[in-house]
Amino acid sequence: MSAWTPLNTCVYGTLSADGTLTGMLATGTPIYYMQAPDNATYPYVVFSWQSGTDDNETPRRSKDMLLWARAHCSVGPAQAGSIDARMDTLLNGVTLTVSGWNNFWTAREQDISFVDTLQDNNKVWTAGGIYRIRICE
Amino acid sequence: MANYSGSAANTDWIYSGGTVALDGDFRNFSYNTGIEIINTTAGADADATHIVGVKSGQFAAELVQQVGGTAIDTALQVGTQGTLEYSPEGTAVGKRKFTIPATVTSFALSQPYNDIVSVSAGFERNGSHTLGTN
Repeated sequence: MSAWTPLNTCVYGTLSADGTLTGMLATGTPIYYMQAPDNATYPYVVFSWQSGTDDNETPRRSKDMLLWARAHCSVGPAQAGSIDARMDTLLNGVTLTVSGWNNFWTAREQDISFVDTLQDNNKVWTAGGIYRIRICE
Repeated sequence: MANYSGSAANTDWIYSGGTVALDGDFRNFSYNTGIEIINTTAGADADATHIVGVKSGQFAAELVQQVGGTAIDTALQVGTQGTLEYSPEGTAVGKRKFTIPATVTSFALSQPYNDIVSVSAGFERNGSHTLGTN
């Protein structure tokens, strides 16, 4: 079966359930899949999938996914880094609960940070990481 | 003519403890057979000659290990004797099947830090195999 929905539910649930993380973000639960809504209030978190492959190396189905989770902030890079650090705690080396699948490997592989200058010359700092998530049925 | 892929395989290991399916999490099966050659070249022979000796066979299985349970580990302990039923194309009626009496001669567990744990087992054929169909 496709793993998109259970994976997204898992990542959103893992991040949104952590009061420390949500306390670092704007009011509400500004954790978004793929893209934040227009005019979303900073800081917020966006996650998406860089890639996903089926291993196809045994009869049992297994997947190798790359998750990109990042924080977007308007205050400065330190704030983005702090939020990223919290996400790292929640995602690196843990066993995630993915409905219908078993998670046997979750580990951060890359760090990514950059800054965007908006049309109004305000800046948005981003910090995040790429996590390899491997699951099998 | 039609090709088929390795995923079609069905392999059971039948031993005193029961029957264990080896194909549920297999990565690779291999079955090698050979025959001993006895050199009879002598004197001024211009060409080598031989007579044939005994036949032998080795089967190998590489499996991904699953959490919990020891059924496969127990069944594949070295020295265990039984019969392999190896159906490369699966078990549909008429598909080829090797029946191989064998002894487990090696069992290896590979545990890389950042990859799946797998086990490999080697079998030495004990007698002749039967090539038939399902």
